[in-house]
Amino acid sequence: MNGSVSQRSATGRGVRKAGFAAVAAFSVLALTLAGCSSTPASAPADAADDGTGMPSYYPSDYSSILDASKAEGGELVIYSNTDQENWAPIFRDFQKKYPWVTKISANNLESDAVFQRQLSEMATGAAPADMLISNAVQAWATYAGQADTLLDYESPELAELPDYAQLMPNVYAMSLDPIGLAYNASLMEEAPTSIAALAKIVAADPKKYQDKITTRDVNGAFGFTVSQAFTEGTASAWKSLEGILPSARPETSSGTQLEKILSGEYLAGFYISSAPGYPAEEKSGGLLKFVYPTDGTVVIGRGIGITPKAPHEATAKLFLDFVLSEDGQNAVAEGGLTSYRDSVELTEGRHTYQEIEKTAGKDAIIRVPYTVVSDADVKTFVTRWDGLLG
Amino acid sequence: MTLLSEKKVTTSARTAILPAPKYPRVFGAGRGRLLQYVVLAVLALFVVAPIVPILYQSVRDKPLYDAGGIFTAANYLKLFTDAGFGQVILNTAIFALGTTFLTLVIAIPMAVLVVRTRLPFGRLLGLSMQWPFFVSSLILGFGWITLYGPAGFVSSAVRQAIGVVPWNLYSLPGMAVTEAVGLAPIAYVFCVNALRQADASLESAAQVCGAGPLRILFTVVVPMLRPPIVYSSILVFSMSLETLSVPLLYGTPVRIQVFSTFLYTNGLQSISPDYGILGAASTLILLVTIATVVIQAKVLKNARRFVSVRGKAVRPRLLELGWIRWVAAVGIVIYVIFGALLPILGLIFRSFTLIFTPLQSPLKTLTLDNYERIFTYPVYVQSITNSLTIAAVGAVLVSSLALVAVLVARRSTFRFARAVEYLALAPQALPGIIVGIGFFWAFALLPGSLGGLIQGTLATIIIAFGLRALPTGFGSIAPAIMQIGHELDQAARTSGADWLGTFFRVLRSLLAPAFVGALILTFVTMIKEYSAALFLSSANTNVIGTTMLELWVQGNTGSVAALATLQLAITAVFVALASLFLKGRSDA
Repeated sequence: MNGSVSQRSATGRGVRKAGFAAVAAFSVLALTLAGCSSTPASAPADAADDGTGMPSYYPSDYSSILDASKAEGGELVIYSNTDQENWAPIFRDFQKKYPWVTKISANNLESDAVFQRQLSEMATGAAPADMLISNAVQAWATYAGQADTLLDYESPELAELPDYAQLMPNVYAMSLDPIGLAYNASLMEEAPTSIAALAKIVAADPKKYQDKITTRDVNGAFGFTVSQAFTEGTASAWKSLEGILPSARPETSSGTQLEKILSGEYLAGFYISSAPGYPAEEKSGGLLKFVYPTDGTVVIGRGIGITPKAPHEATAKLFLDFVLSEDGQNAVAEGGLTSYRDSVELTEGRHTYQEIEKTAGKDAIIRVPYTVVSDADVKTFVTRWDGLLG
Repeated sequence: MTLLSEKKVTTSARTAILPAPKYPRVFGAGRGRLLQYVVLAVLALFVVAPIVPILYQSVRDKPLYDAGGIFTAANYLKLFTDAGFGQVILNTAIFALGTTFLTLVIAIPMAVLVVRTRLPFGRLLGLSMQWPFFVSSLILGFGWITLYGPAGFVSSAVRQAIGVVPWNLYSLPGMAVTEAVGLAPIAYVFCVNALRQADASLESAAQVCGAGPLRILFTVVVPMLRPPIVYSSILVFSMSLETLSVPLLYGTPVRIQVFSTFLYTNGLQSISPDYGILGAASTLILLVTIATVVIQAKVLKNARRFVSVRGKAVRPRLLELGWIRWVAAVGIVIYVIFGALLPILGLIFRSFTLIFTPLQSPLKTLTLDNYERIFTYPVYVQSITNSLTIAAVGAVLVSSLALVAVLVARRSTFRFARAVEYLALAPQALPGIIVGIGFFWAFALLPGSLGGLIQGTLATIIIAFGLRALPTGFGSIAPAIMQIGHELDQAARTSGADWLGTFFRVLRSLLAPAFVGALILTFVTMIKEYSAALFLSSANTNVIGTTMLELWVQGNTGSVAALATLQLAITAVFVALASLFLKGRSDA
C-alpha cells in the first residue's frame, strides 16, 4: 500500500523550525515541548464587525448558523485524504475562532476510500461524516455527479474569491496544489525549466538518460489526472512525452520519485506533487531542485463539500466558510498546502497560487476541471501513454 | 488420528451433568467437546465474516453499497480476458515459488547449524538471523534499494571498483531474494522449534550404526524437519502471494506486475476502482491457497512418523562439524551482514539524517527532526500506543485461540477437527486489504446497534489483525504438538483425565515454548501489519503501519525510518523479554 496517493500531502514546515540538529538529548518530553513551542501564533481576524464577529459581506442571519453549531455539541467529523500536518494550523485557528468546537476528527483515508466509505455508510444508514475533502478529481466528480450526495450550500465567501474557487456545485477548493518537475542538481549540468526542455536535454544524450527519468504511473488515478490535464492543456505535450517516455520509468508516489532523484537513481522526474516537493528541495541543501514547468503546470483543486444529513451540519458550514476565509487560507498555506486567496501573504515557507502565476507564468497554469472522463477515453489515453514507455 | 475411542470420552458419568442443548449429540457432550464446538464456531465466524461479502462482491456487477446490482459472472470474465493477466499469473508464480525456495535454502541450513551443531557464536548468529522479521518489508525493501538499487551505496561502490553492477535488483529474482530475506525468519523459527525438540535417540541410533556427523545431519535431522518445512513453505508461499511492498517498490519502475500489485493498481489506486474485479481476484487467491492447504494435509498425512518427544527424555547432543563449522559461521555472518544488518543499520542511520544519498555524506545533515515530527503530532504518538495495545492484546488472544485450535485439530476425536484446521489456516488466503474491506462490511451489516458499538474502535483492528495473524500462530504451534507422542495423552487419559485435563496437566508445559514462540510471532506480525487497517481504521485508531505509509507518501522518508526504528526497538524489547521468560520456563 505504500506510496499510493502522494497528491494528498505536504509538511507543516512552520511547525518544526527549531534548531534541533545538534541536540543529542533524547527526552521525548523535550521533543514534544519544543515542537509545540515553535508554532508561531497566527493571523489577525477579519476586519469589519457586525456584532457576530463576522465580516460585513456575510448574510445578516449568519448568527443562526452560529447558534445551531453551538447546539451541536462541538464536534466535527471529516473524511479526507489530507495529512495531519496540513490540518494542524487550520484546526488550531478554526477552534480559536469558534472555541465551542472541541473535537475535530479528521480521518486520513486513501483518496478514493473517502467516497467509497461515505457511500457505504450512507447505504447502511449510519453516516458519521460531516464533510468530505479530497483531491481525487475523478472520484469527486463521480461522487458529486450522483443525486443526494452533497448538501446544498453556497458559501458567503464565494463572492470574495476567484471564480475557480467553486469546483462543482457545492464543492469548493480548499487549496490549489501545483504539480512540478524535480531534478538532481549535482548530476544534471543543464537545468530543465519545462517538460519540453527536459525532452530536449534527453534527446541530446539519450544514453546518459536511459532509465534515468521518472514519471508518475498513469494507471493510477493521480497520475492519470495530472497527465491527462497536461496533454489537454499544452499543445506540445505529446511531442515532449514522445521524447521523454522511452527513457522514463513510472513510479506510484511523489515521495518515491523524490527519494530516488535525491539518491541519483534518477536524474530528473516530473508529475511530482509540490506538497512533498518543496520540503524535499529545502532539506536537500541544493542537491535537489523543484520547479514549475513553464510549458504547463498542472494545478489540482482540493475539493471540500458537506454531506447530506451531516450530523453536525452547522459546524460543517462554519468550517467550510472558514477555510475559504482569509484566516483559513492563511492557515492552509501555513500547513503546507497552496492557498489561492489574493490577500494571503507569501512569506518564508508558504506557497500560494499567485506564486505559481509569477514563476511559471499565468498562461502555463492548467487547472484540472472536475469532470468525469469516460472509461473508453481513459483506456485510449493509458494505452497510448504506456506504449511510449521504454 | 488417535487410538482413543469415542466411547471413553462420552461414557464417563460426570459429563452427563453438562448438557449442551444447542448441539444435538446422541450422547451428552463433555466440557472438552463443548469447547471444541465453541472453537469451531468462533473460527467459522471470524473466517466467514469477511469472506462472504467478498464472494458476494465477486458475483455482483456493482459495489455492495449500491442497491441496484445484479448477479453476474462478468467480473471473472473480465479478469481472465484482461490483457496481460496471464503474464501477471506467471510473474506471481515465479516470484512466490522463488521466494519460497530461497527462504528454505536460507532457513533450513541455518536452523540446523545453529541448533544442532557446535557453531562459533551460535547463539548470537541464531538471534541475528531473525532480525529481518522485525522489519516491515516496506522498510526492508527500501533499505535494499538504498544499498543495492541502481544507485545504491553498495552498487555505487561496486561500480567504481569493477565498472559494472553484476546484479539487477529491479527484477523478479531481486524481489524474491529480498522477500526471502524478510520471510526466512519465519521458516527458521519453525525449524528451530522443531529441532529443539528433536529426539536425540534417533541420532544416537545413527551414531551407533557408525554414521558421521554430516551423515546424521542429512539422513536424520533434516528429514525430521518435514512438518515445519511444509508448514513454513505454505505460509511463506501465501505471504509472498499477497505481499505488496517489495513488488511495488521494485516492480513499478520496470513494470513487472504480480498479483498484489495488479490488485493494487486495478482495484484500489485505479482511476475507477472495480470492486467486482477485486472480489473475483481475491476469490482466485483463496482457491489457490485452499489448494496449498490441501496439499499440506496430504504431505503430512502420516504425521506420526515425525513424533520425537516421547515419554522418555534424552538430551540432544550438539554435532561436531570440524572445519566446516568455520565455513558455515562465515557464511551466516556474510548473510546476516548484507541481508539484514546493513539495511537495518542504514535504516537507523537514515532516521538521524535529513537526506540519505551516495552523492553526499549523510553526516552533513545529522538531525533529530525526524523524531521530532513524530512526537509533535499527538496522532502519530497515538498510532504507536495503538499498535502496542493491538499487538499485546491481539497476540494473547490469537495465540490462545491458535493453541486451542491446534489441540482440537490434532489431538481430539472431534469430527470437525479437519474443518478447524482449515479454518485456522484459511486467513492466509485473504489479502490484508480484502480482510479490511470484508470486515468493514461485516461490521456494517451487524444487526442493530452492535455494529455501531464496535465500528471505529480498536476492537475492529484487533479482530482484523488477529485473523491475519492466526495462521502464523497456528503454524508455529502445530509442528510442536505433532512431535509430542500420543502415548503421553493416552497415559493421562488412562489415569482419568478428560480432554481438557490432559492439556492442563501434561501438554501445557510441553507446549509452553511453542506457545511463547507463537506469542512472539503473532505480536511481531500484528505490530508490523497495516494493510487490513487501511479501510478499517479511523482517525483515532491509526497504527504504526498506516502512519508510516502516510509519512512515506508525504515524502518524509526520514520520519518513516524514525518510526521504523521505534517499532524495531519496541519489538526488540518485547522479544528479549519473551525470550527471557521462555528460558525461565523451559529450564524449569
